[in-house]
Amino acid sequence: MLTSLESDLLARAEVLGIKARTIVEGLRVGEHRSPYRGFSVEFVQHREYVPGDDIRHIDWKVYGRSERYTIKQYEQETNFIGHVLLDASRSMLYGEGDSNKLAYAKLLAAVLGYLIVHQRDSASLAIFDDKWRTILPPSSQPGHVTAMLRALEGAVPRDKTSIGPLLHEVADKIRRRGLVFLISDCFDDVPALLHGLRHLRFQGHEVTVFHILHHDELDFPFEGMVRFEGLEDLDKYLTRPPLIRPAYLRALQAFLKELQTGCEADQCDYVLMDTSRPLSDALGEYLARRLRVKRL
Amino acid sequence: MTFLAPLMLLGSLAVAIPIILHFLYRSRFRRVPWAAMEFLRKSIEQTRRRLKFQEWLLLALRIMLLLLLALAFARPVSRSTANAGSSASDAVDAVFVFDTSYSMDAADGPMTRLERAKQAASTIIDHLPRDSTVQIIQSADRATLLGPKSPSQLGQARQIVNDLRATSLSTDHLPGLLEAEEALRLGQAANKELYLFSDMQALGFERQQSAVGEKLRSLSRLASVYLVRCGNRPLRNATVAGIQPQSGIPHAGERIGLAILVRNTTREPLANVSVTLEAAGQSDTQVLPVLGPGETRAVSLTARFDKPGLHRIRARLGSDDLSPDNAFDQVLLVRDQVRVLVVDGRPNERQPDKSSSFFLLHSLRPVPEIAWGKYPIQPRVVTPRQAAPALLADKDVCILNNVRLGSSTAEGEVLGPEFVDRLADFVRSGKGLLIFLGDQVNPMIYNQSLVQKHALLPSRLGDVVRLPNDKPVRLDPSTCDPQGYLAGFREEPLNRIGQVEVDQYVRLEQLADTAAILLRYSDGQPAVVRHRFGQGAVVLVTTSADTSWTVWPILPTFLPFVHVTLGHLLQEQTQAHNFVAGEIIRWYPLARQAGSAFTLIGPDGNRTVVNAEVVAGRPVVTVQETLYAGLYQLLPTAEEDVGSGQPSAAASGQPATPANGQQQGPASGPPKLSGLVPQAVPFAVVPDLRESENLESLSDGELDARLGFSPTHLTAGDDLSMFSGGQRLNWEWTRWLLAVVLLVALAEAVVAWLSGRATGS
Repeated sequence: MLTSLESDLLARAEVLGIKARTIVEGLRVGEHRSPYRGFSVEFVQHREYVPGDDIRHIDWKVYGRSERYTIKQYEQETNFIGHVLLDASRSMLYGEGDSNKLAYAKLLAAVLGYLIVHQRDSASLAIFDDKWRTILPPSSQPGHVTAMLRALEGAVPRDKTSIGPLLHEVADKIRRRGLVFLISDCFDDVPALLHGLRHLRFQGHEVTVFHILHHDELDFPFEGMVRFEGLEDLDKYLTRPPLIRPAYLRALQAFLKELQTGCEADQCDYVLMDTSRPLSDALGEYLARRLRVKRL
Repeated sequence: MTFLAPLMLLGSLAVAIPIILHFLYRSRFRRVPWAAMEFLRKSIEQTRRRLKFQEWLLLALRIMLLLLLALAFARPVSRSTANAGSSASDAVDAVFVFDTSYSMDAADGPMTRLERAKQAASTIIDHLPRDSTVQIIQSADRATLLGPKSPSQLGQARQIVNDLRATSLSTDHLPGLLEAEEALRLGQAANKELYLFSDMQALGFERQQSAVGEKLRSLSRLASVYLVRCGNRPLRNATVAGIQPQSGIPHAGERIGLAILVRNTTREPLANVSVTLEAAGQSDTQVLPVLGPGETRAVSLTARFDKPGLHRIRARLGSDDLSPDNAFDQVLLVRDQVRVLVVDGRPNERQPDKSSSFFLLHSLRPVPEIAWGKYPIQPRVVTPRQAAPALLADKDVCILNNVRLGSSTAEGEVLGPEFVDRLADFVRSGKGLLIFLGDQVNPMIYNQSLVQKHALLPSRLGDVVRLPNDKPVRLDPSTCDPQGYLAGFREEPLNRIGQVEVDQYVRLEQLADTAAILLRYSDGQPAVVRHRFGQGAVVLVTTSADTSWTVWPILPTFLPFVHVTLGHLLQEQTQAHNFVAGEIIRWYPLARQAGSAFTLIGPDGNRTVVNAEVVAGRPVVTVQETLYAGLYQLLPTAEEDVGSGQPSAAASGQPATPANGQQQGPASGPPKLSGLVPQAVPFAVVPDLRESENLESLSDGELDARLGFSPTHLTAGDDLSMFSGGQRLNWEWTRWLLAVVLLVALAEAVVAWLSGRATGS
């Protein structure tokens, strides 16, 4: 499935990534301090100028010698590591086709990995449910994306979610600060989850929580008599959803509010993603917002 | 409660449908693998009790809906308010009670109220369902089930209705309702209806108000009750309230003054009320220019009778809205002579003025001695010893004056028991008895003979009250009974009776129920007491008719008292010929006529045969049915057979000796009549004028209030077919149940909507 990543999505993600990188660079020479000071920038090669390139990057010395406009290309060396943590518990199995939460989450993880690696940063991938199932160490090699995609392709839900303890493990293991992207439906003990996030923040990581929920879970639009069977446990409830919808929505809103408030309190980015919405739109919004206020 | 379509109750099994659907619905569900089970669990826990309640409430409402529908289709009817088994199409046992009091003869537009009732009844019969029955009851102050013999013969019922006539009786609905209850209980159909056709005159519901209300309420539980109002236009009505002779004793050859009492019984003044007296083939008319509302006026008219005997007189008013009370018949006895037997308890031939009867005789014959022979009152004085029973045979009145009673005439001047026995029969047959007391009277013996044995006296006699000469009592004219024949003594100049001083009198004890005190002494004790005995009357004066106990005999008021009393006693004799409609006529023929057949000729000329039966040793002809006012005549059948030919000895007034030994003279047999069937005994029957006293009809609301429930009110002239069919349907609970079904359905919809509605966040 991941091999058929939408080219449009990837192209846009690339554009966004390029813009982000440009912005980061711009921030470094501008009024604002770049959060990435200390990153080395090494020359790699020249290439011929094409319209649209920034003329500031024209190597005038080469022009003096050959009267040809040549652009200097650099290879950046950075300590930016993006840690993508993907929840592959059974609760992520809800949804059909593209709106399946796990599929949506995998796509998101792939996009993030692609963006990070494409920016020459290092990306790591960890897939978990109540324990770590797959861990790919950080790498910035282009082939690392392929490895990530394969790992994602091979992720099969097995058990229920237990995020909190795993976040503590991550916080303890990752010494170098970086970006942590948690992709999950967060159907877990919220205080434990928030405690884990707080640990990550304490270690200096920037944390973004991509909260993946299906539209059904957000709107509860069922009619008739429905027996709900738990994906992560054996509970079964036979009910008429229209009758309990208000109560359900109240409980859901309380959960979302607790989670969002907790994230904001720990200065974590919280992004609620409805799987019925195209990922490109949802991620584009997030990236645009992040570029406005922070950086990638 | 019963059901017209009980099989439809099987429809109640449909209550299984919502129950089955309830569980079927729960078994038909969609499986959804779900991740957010925690929120689901919380929401279900929060709403479980409410949802379960709503769920069961809905189920209950749906079950109730189906049950009520099944119940409605089964068409329940309740006995408490309607007919069991009734419907617009099922057979009906109908009972028609017709008010036939004479107010139903009142004009109401182009027809009478009774005609409206007949029309309404006919319409109702026309629209009765098949196999219905009808029973007709005629009711005034008594009720008669008229039939038909086979209640299912509606044609006969129509005929009976058409033949109905208003009587001269007054209204009382209770007897008709009692009869109707019996008829309804005999009905076999489950659907029973009672129709009361009446002008809803207040009198009919007031005479026995509580009983009528109670009976109608109980009938409403047995049958559907319809009150059919037959006309309620206000009436203009005057009535003849009575005829009173203005002279004491009507004598042949004299012009007699008669006071015709005319009363306006309505609230509107009446103008130009003509009053006519018809008597002896002549008539005398007078017109009253105005007769105010409720006013009673005495109109003086005269009549002259050439021959003695029983005469029919009739007072007639001009036409108004209610004609039955415009005519008033009366039988008047006109005499050539009045024969009075005076038994003097202390005669004195040598000094007549010392005898007890001296003043009494002068009062009876207040003319010079030379004129005594032609004077209409012919007294005969006898001593107690001379008083033989046979002397009473040709007498109209007997006067016992200071008479001592005894067991045998051998005791001296005492009245023997044989005479007393005959005297009782004499009074019972309609003659008069006047008793003056005095020093010869032994109260104890009087009580034994006249009270205990014959009950002739109106009271037991007590002790003689002897007052000091300087403290006599006086007669008190203010105590004269205004309704009695001494009422005239309340006014000038007769009220001078108050000057009469009495030194001694006999105190009365234990007055009989039929006794009436007409005059009292100033100390309150009775002075004159009247008492009806059989068809005659007894007047008792508790003091003497001589001057030993009182000075009254020498005072001017004694003479009018004697004459008025004599006239009263004579007038009482005609009471045997004057009746109010509804009263039973009893006539005592000659003793040898026991078992004989008599022909009764009614006011309408119809003839029926009645037999003289022996009751208590005396032959008596009894006429039970006097429903219609007018003249009834009783004729020995033998006389009728020969027509106006030779009268039989029995009817010709010849003396006869009854089987019980009593002798009846010419006056005891049928007297000679004027303007009547020869040899017939006349009886005048007047309408029961209680009917005319208050002709107001009660409104529907007033009726409901008095009866304590709301029967169905119909008005004759409206389209009764609509009522009779439609009302039966109304008595089913179906309509109400369907209304409840609608309400339950509405409730179910609301609850379902509320249950299905997203409860507020």
